[in-house]
Amino acid sequence: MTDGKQSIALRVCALLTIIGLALMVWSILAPTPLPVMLAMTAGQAIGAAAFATYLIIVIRALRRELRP
Amino acid sequence: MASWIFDNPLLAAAIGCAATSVALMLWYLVRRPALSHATKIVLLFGIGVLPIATATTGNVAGFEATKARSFCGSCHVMTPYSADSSDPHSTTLAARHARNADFGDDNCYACHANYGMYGTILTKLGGLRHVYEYSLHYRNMSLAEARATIHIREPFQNATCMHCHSTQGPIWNLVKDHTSLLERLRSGAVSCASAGCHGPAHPASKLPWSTASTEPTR
Repeated sequence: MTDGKQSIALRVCALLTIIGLALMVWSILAPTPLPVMLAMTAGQAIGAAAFATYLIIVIRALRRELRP
Repeated sequence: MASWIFDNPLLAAAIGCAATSVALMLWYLVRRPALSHATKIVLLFGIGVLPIATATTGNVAGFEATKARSFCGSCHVMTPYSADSSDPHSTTLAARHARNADFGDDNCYACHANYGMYGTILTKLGGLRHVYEYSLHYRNMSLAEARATIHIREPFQNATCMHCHSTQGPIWNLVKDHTSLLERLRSGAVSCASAGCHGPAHPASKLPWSTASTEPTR
């Protein structure tokens, strides 16, 4: 993955993280069925996807750096 | 709204972590720094550590919120039940339990939770089913229609009552009806919440297993 693609992917991760956090905070501010269920399903799935993507990008970058 | 959040350190921590994470993400999106080691560490906190902390504390807070009577009553079809529980003058079984300090605002959960080994998980799965059914079938139903058609999915288990009322206490056994029906109560053949005993539990209670219902049990 080129540096440009990495940068775009990480920006998408940042946006997904903000969306996931918004859902989680909504459930805290308004603990009614819809926000709570959305936070515990979609919010956490979005956050987990963003973090997994970040880890893949960073691990690939580290492997490239360590390669002789 | 802010006062109850900041009265609860868990909720304050969740919101603090979320706010810090969003600030880091906005910094990254606006400034677009090169992917140096420092940036990776900032992103690790912004995408990983802080959101995980928010999710963990938010989950705990969410699970606690789902126990509250106000949560159950937030679906309009449940308002007759929650309003009755909140009524200090009501003499229904649910209202009397709501006035018990041990149950209080969590009285719906206390009586409708499953207390088996996997009780919490089964109760939460049942709650998900309720959200699904409400969203797809009952959301636009009038309150009058809901009162007539919605009923408990399965007969109320005496085991739930026996979680607190063990049927072995001397005071409990002073009641002649208790001792004469002891085995039938323990086996569930006679319901504690039946009309001749301590029921109906709610003013809108129905007996789905014995009376006609206009809607199939969901």
